[in-house]
Amino acid sequence: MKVAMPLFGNWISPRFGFSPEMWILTIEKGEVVSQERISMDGLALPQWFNRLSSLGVDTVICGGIDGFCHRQLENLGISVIPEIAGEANEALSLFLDGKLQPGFRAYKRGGRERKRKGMFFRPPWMEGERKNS
Amino acid sequence: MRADKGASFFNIILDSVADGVFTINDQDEITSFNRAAEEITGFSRDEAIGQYCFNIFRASICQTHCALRQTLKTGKAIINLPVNILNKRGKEIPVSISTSVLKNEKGEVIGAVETFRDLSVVEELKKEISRQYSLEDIVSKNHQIQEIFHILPDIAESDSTVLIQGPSGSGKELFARAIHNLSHRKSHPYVKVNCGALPDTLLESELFGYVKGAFTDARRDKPGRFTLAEGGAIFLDEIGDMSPALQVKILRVLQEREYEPLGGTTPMKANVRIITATNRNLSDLVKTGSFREDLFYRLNVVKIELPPLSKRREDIPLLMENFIHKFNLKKEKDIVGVSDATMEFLMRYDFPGNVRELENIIEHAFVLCKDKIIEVKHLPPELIRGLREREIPPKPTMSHPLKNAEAELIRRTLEKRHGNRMATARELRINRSTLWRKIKKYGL
Repeated sequence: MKVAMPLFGNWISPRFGFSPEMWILTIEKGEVVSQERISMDGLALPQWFNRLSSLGVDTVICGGIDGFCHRQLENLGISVIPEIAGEANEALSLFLDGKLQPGFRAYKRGGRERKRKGMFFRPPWMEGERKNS
Repeated sequence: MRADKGASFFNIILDSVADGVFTINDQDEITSFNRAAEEITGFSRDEAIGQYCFNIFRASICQTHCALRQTLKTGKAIINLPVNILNKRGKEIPVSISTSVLKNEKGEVIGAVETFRDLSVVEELKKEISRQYSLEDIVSKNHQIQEIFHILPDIAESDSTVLIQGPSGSGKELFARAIHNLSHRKSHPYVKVNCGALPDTLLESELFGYVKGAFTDARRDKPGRFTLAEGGAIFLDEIGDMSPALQVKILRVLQEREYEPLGGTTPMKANVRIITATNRNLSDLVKTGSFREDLFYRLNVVKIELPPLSKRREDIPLLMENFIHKFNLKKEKDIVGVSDATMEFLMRYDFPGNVRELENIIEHAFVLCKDKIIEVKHLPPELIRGLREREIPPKPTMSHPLKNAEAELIRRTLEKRHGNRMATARELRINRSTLWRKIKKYGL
């Protein structure tokens, strides 16, 4: 399967559609078999969707995403894990462990960042559900 | 104790301000977040404090031209910069931001402050006036619209003439605007002309302009819409209503890229992309001779066919949500949605006026609805009557149920065929004289 993460440096871009770079990963049997960073600089939104579609991306892990973009991705058959904040590498390991959920903070363990790990905030569609510890 | 009192007084002041205010330290972490900031962004103070500002504010400039970083770097304040942010619910909010550095008593920089004002209402009104719609205004899940959406960038880049065909109110202008906004001409003008709204002579002078002395009142040169659109795009709406004489002139612009203003003798060059739209079927008009075949082929380089709303019913809930949001802003109401009965009702309606009709229905409901949910009773009465009449079968009386049903069927078919007996008889597959006899019998 192919996973895409819009990047802001080594972080997950806080907002889909505004990042200059995208991290594309091919994952087989729970392991990353290939990866590349592609430039998204200057692309208009439809070109973003066309590129993701032509790359055969199955899942997008991203930060904030508006309803319009979310719908477009779903219409292309791409599943979205939205509202992720933090480091891209950490988000990837959480994803590979099957622990990444919408609204997660992905920070490295240890030091000041430890207390940050876990649920970043409860996205509106998860409100009312049991809070993830 | 005094410091605590000071801090709490400071928070009270901040919370009474209508603009959103937040502060960051030198690590980009949010250190304070007032009540208006909570309302505009949707994030609570607890969620925001301690987070990196870009993860909460999520402005269009965060990743490229962060205003706070710029202020911290240069020490200069930024005033009223228009940007848009993404709130917690995933909705874009237009805001204007101002930033300034924060210094301690010693004059050392300890962070920065950002204030922001919600411009949703202003922007919505501006959009209404200028009709400057963006790509995000195309709201659809429909596969046909999705296909168009995905080829839109290629169409935009091609610079070819585009013909958009679709029924009234299906969003032709939205697509024309989107094509222009995605093209390399986007920084140049986009000029719209409705060819069906003006008489022939006026339309010609509107399109091509005139020179001084061209006619009695022409006291000075007037540039036409083609001149105004130079370098950009001209959108010719209702092109199917254009007269044959003007069609020739448009053909010349397309073939030779030049035109002459009314009364002028020197041809002017036209570096303009032409986007056209019509609610009529141009190939049918060509067959009947009311539209030039050569012009049709020139216009029909790239054709976009928009489906009527009745063929994209899956979009009705999405569109309704959009219109409710828009009218909440415009009319300062807080309607949250429609009742199940209203939704069911509208999902079965045919919308001959397409998306525009749906918009008008929601606007009508906004006038009548005093609660938070739009009920069926808030919809236009003729709509409710029409749909109910169509659905409720004729009430059979116990004495002659079959006869009553027959009379009702004839009455409705006559109504549908606008009283045309020939057409009614044909539809009912009965002889014209039989129909006449039955009309007389039932007193229709």
